[in-house]
Amino acid sequence: MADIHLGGWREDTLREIGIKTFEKAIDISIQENVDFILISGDLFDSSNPTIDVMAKAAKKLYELKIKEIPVYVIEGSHDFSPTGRTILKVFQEAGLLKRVTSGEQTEGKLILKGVIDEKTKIKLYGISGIRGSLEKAAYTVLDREDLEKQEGQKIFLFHSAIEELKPNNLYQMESMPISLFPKGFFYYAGGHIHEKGEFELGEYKNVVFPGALFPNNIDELLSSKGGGFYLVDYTNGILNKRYISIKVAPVILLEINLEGAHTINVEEKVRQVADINDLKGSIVILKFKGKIEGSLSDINFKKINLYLENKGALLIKRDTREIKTKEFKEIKNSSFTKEKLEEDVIVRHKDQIKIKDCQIETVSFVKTFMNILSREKKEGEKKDDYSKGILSESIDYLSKNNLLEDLDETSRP
Amino acid sequence: MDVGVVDLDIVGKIVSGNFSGIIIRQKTGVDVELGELLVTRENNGYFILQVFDISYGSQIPERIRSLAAGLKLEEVSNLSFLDSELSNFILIILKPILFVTPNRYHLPKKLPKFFSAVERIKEDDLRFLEKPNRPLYFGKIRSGSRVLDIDVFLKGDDVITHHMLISASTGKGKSNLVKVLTYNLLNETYAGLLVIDPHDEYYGRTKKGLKDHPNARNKIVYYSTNPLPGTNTLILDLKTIKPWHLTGIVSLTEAQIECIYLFYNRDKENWIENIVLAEREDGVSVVTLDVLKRKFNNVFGVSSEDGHISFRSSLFSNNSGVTTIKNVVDYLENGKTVIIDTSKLGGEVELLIGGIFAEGIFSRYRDLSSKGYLQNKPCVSIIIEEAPRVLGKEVLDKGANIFGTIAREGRKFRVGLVAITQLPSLIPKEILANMNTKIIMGTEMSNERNALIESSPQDISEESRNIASLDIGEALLTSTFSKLAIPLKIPPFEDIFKADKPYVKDKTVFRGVDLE
Repeated sequence: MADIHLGGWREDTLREIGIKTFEKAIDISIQENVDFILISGDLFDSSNPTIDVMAKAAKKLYELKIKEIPVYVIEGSHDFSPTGRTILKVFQEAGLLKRVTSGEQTEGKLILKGVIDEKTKIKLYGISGIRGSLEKAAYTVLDREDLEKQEGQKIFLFHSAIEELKPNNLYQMESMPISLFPKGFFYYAGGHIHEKGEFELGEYKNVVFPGALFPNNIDELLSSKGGGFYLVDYTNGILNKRYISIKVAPVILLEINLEGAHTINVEEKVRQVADINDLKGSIVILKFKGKIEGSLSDINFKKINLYLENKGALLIKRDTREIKTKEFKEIKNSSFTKEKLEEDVIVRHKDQIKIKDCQIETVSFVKTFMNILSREKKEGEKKDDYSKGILSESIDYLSKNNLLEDLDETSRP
Repeated sequence: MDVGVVDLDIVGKIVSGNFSGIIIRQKTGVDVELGELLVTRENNGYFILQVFDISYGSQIPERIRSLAAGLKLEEVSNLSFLDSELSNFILIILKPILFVTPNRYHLPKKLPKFFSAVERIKEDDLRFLEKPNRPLYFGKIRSGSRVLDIDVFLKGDDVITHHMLISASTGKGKSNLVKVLTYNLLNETYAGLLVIDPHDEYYGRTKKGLKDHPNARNKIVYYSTNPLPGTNTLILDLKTIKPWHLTGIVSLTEAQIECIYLFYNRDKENWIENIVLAEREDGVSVVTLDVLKRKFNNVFGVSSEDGHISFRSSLFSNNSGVTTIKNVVDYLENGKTVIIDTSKLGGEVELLIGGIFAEGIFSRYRDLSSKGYLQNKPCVSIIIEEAPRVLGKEVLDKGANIFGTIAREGRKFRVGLVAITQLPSLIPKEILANMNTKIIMGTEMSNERNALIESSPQDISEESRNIASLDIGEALLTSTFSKLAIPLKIPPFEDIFKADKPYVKDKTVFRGVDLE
């Protein structure tokens, strides 16, 4: 398995479901009586997760230790620490898992030491993933020949995107060619790509990405593919793999077409779609699309959430990226500088901004006011002084332009 | 010059001729070669002249010369001419190619002064040739077989987008020229380069190559069906192949094309797989379907086995190489040099692969152009060997292909071709004329020379003999972006590494492994 990202979601419910998914995957592995478990990076969402997350992970890993099922891991781009201070090291010291990334550098070449699984005698080697694909440097000096000539059955763990195997939607992702990998291993356990995939490319057989164990962001939730891991059986040189899909909470996608609707009718539209679905115990994703009358801020999402929660939804996520309001139209812009882009947007919409008795021209006013608001905190400036400063400058500017007639003098900082 | 002082640089004096051929009498003891550059100086500047013919001259009547030769041959005779060196001489026919003043240089519109002394050109006479912005390096100026230490550059993005032709007989140094051009282009950022390499000779798999350039790590991307460690596997997912990739490259009948589009319109991703697996199809004859399956087997290496698709070749797949086309196009758009090793592929497959990437970048740039975003993008050049395979009259008569389209329309979208061939006469005249820069190397066949001369941006009608006599590495550069046809000597590629300071690789600092 890979890309478990324990502790990854901001929402408690989703974070909890992520942990439960991991626990379930471990339970299944124990039931299936596996010889060992491989985690190809990003067991945790950070190298320094919260105490709660660590505790839950430790508890589960301890169950495996009691059952004498070793867990072999590498770090991923999220739980790798350039200083080496990652929780995985702590867990290793506690005997809860084994990292397979040890090596030495001889005459400019990197020789991987690997780990031998005592029960199966399978040799495990790996290179951790680092944010920005910085692990590529290790691959460029890797002594592949040394690894290729090692006898016995070998597994390679990696946490990187491979150029030739990238899915279409990730084509711009930093990646490396598969030719940097040692050939002839019987299994290449991959991580980093959150979609499952099984590949064979020349002498690289069984290159497998299990994908994320649990979706990691709204797009992954939206894809409704869920998550899972592989159970691999390797007996007498014959390899069989079985994908185990895990869904602790079903993800229900409710597509709400708002074309032509007014914001006051959005709740009703949601109800119509929600009422024909059983939402009990599910993660609900509201995906809105269409052009609506009124402003997005007029939609009462709190009320909508409450309605869905009453129908049993565990969590509601909404995707409003495809809502277009008539208030602000989509603009086509060929300007590339931020300033020019901003100015174009202001010019296009200036007629919608009605400023009573303003002394200066609207575009100039908005630009200047935005500049005041966008000033960054100076080095050494206290947070409080910074916010007071911005407020004071804003008030001065607004009052100079006769826009502060109702402001109580006492509210000035 | 003072009387009695001999100027060692003088090779002769102008004695007659006209604008199409100035005749000088060669000084005794001096050797002048075909193609050599000479100079004659005037008060306000100097003419640069080029030798295009050499002949004998004599003040002794022909019958006397024949008699004297006969006496020498048939009888023992000490007969010799009086003042032989004055009576018998060499005449050199020159073409004025440039007039250089301190401020400018231009094509000559007058003749040099009668009886002017003519001397060999020196490096200083060519200092006016400056290195332009966004330069493209071609080699050194050559005068006859003498190489001058003057580098020849033209404005690279102009030259690239207006297409180039490299023509030469076998063994005259085409590959070396392409290596030198592409190697030097790696110093620049204004151009992306797609090299379709049927002989796997440019990357430098087994010897020095483009991979040895100091910028190679950032600038070169190499795809091969047999990749070296760190390079990319050339593999394409069948889903990324579109029917128009086959147009003009794979020979197809109308019925076959109709069948292809029938399947494509139904399933735009799996149409090849569906054709291969189809037992029969309404509206398509069994024969058409069978022939298509056979063709797909040849081209893509795919066939049906027990109702499943089977891949014979490692070039195509149904789950790997999904992003190969997009990635190659991205690399080109970012000014990188992408080398595609097609040495293990059959001719038709090689062209198909080249065509797919060429179509990818052409479409991307056409799209960027329509959105107004093309201006700041690097131009892109596509190097295609044995160009008549895709640009030949016969091929184009059967149907347009992407290379023909780029030859005609690529300039508008900043995409150019570098067509390499031994047989330029096979390329239609209108396409040949569109190749605005030609590097002509030794070409023995007169019809090939004529095709080049007729389509040259400069009048090189007098150069036919010169072109035939060009030795390995010698070339004539004619270009819309040069005021004159420039004789070139392309340095051997290996010499670059003798001249360059040894490139010291940075020590690799890596992480991701626990070092003991």
